[in-house]
Amino acid sequence: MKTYQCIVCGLIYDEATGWPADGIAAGTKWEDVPADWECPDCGVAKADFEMVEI
Amino acid sequence: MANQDNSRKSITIENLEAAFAGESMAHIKYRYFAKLAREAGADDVAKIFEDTADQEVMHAFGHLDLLYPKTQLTPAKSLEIAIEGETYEYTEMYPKFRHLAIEEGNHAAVAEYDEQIAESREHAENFKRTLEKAAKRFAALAKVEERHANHYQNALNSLKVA
Repeated sequence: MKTYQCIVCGLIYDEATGWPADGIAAGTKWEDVPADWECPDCGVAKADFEMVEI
Repeated sequence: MANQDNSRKSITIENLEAAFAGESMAHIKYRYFAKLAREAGADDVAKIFEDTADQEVMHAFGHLDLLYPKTQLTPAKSLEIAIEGETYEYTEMYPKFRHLAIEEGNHAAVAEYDEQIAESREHAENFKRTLEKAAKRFAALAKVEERHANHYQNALNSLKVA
């Protein structure tokens, strides 16, 4: 499981927890997150997230 | 901003714009300070910043009230102003900022070769990372602002149809 960080606001997407509020189940791999998913905090699109080392 | 079509802007209009920008910046800065204070466990300090930040919003609203008088502002006009602002951000501001960050990054790389001291080298590398991150951030924000502009445009189109 990896984590990804929003380039603008620093929000972390953790594959282990997913993002249930947007219907993204726990354990959802980053590549399976819909391309049009946007950072819930600042609106930056998935394409602009960066992988964070864990 | 208001009176944009006038070639010579009134000094007071300019001051109102500066005051609006200042109050807006203070609001966000205090919100940020409050966030950090709360993370540090200083809830009382966070509260002070949050309360002050709320007041800055009202100060900024006061300036906007003069810059964009309510009597002249319809929902459609508001959307047009918003579209203009977001369009400037994604077509000019962020692309330019990104370009300059990349350019500055290249210069920083050149400067790094001239530095022999380890400490300077570390500073230069940190600075380069900041520039790279800034360039990516500006690129990402340009796309967000474009979506905002489109969102406003759709709302404006709906208003015109209705």
